[in-house]
Amino acid sequence: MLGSLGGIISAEVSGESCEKFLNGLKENGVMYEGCQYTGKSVRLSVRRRDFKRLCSISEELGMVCTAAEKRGVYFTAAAYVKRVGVYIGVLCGLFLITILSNTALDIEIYGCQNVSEERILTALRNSGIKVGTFIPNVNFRKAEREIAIAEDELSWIGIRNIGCRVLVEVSETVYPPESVASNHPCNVVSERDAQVVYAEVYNGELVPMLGEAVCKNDLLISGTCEGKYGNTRLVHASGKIIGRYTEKQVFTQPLTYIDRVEDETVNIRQLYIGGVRLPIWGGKAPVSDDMEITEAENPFRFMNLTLPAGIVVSEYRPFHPEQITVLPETAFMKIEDKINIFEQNFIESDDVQIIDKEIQKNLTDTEAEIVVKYTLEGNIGCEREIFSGKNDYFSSETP
Amino acid sequence: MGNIKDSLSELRKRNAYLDTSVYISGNHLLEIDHCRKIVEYNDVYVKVKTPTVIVSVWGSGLTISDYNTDGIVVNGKISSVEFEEV
Repeated sequence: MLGSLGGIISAEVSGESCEKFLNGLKENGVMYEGCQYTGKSVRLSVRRRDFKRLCSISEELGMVCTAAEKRGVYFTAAAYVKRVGVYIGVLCGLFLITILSNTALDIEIYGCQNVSEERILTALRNSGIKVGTFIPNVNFRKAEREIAIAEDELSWIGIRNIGCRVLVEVSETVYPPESVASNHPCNVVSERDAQVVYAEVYNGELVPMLGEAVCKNDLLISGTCEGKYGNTRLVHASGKIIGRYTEKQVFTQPLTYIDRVEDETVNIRQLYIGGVRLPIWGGKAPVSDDMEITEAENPFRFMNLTLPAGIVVSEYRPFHPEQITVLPETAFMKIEDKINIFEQNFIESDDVQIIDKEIQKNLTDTEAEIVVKYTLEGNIGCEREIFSGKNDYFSSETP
Repeated sequence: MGNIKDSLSELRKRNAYLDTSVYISGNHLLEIDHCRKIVEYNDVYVKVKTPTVIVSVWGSGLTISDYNTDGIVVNGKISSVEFEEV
């Protein structure tokens, strides 16, 4: 109840009139606890700051007061007051905290998708920002300008620090797709040799008839139109021309080849503090020329604050090359898988329809081969600008 | 007149909570409010004077604590409590 922060003294007061002594303590507002009668004396605990008053009251009553025990944080700390090492340790701690708070221990990069983090870290290093840099020595604004100028793929970069963490936010350049401006006159020409099966003209004049064969670069929709009064106008031709064409693809699979075979996956956990990593579980990372590594950093949090320390969970998947020999049947099955993947990625994704497929299988001593002849239907038109040298271009009109 | 004075005094004490109150917890803790003076104290007997009564506590291993709350706390093995009018 008395509280041990300020220190508690167990005093022993011996004399005749202990009731007078206790009443004297009460009148003087001295708090005491656990007063125990031990024959001719009483033993009680008082706060350190009340001990002097207790002694003076006991003296007035002709009693003898001695301090039997001293306990509490005050007395524990007082034992170390004269120790110089405590002060040196506190100063060193403050110095270390100051230095570490102003040293870059971690660099976090946000906003990069196509540009790799290593590239940004290299650019930062060239501007003098890396783990271990003394932050007050760095000019962040100058570094931002230098990196933005040096890296074309970054449209904006912002660098700031929160304590010992350097935060880098980047915005990547978005390049507009190549297209002819809608107010520039152009023709629609054929991208490949095909037979026109469907035409939808939004602007311009259709040149070939349906069912007609066209060659690559042949005019499909003309941007040069004759007006009502015989004048020639240039327009931005547009439309959808579906053509039927053939395409040949050859897929091969060697009967003996070197393949990547996965070894045992190794999971490692490390404790990171700033930029330093300490292994805590899982052993060492495997050494391999061919390896897939996935890492996830899980920082420690204190209430809403993210600390520059945490656990890194790493998964290492090493591979080694192994010579594999397959039977012809297996080789042809692998080729068919390749054909499916090709059709999904390169044909179906472009809104192209497969009308017909001719498959021819060939087998040699060293490899299996499938030749696929596709008959496809898809959009064959592409815009090509008309360079007339004049400035009096007319805007497009609906037919 | 004396009777009116006594009854008014009684009323004042009761309504303003100036009467002596004793709180006992089991047989090991006893709190006495409005303690004026410790008349007698040793490890088996404590006699305390309050404005209205004199409280005598018998027991063994009795210890007293005073936290400046105008009362005292008696700890120990309490065997009996007696009240005597002042």
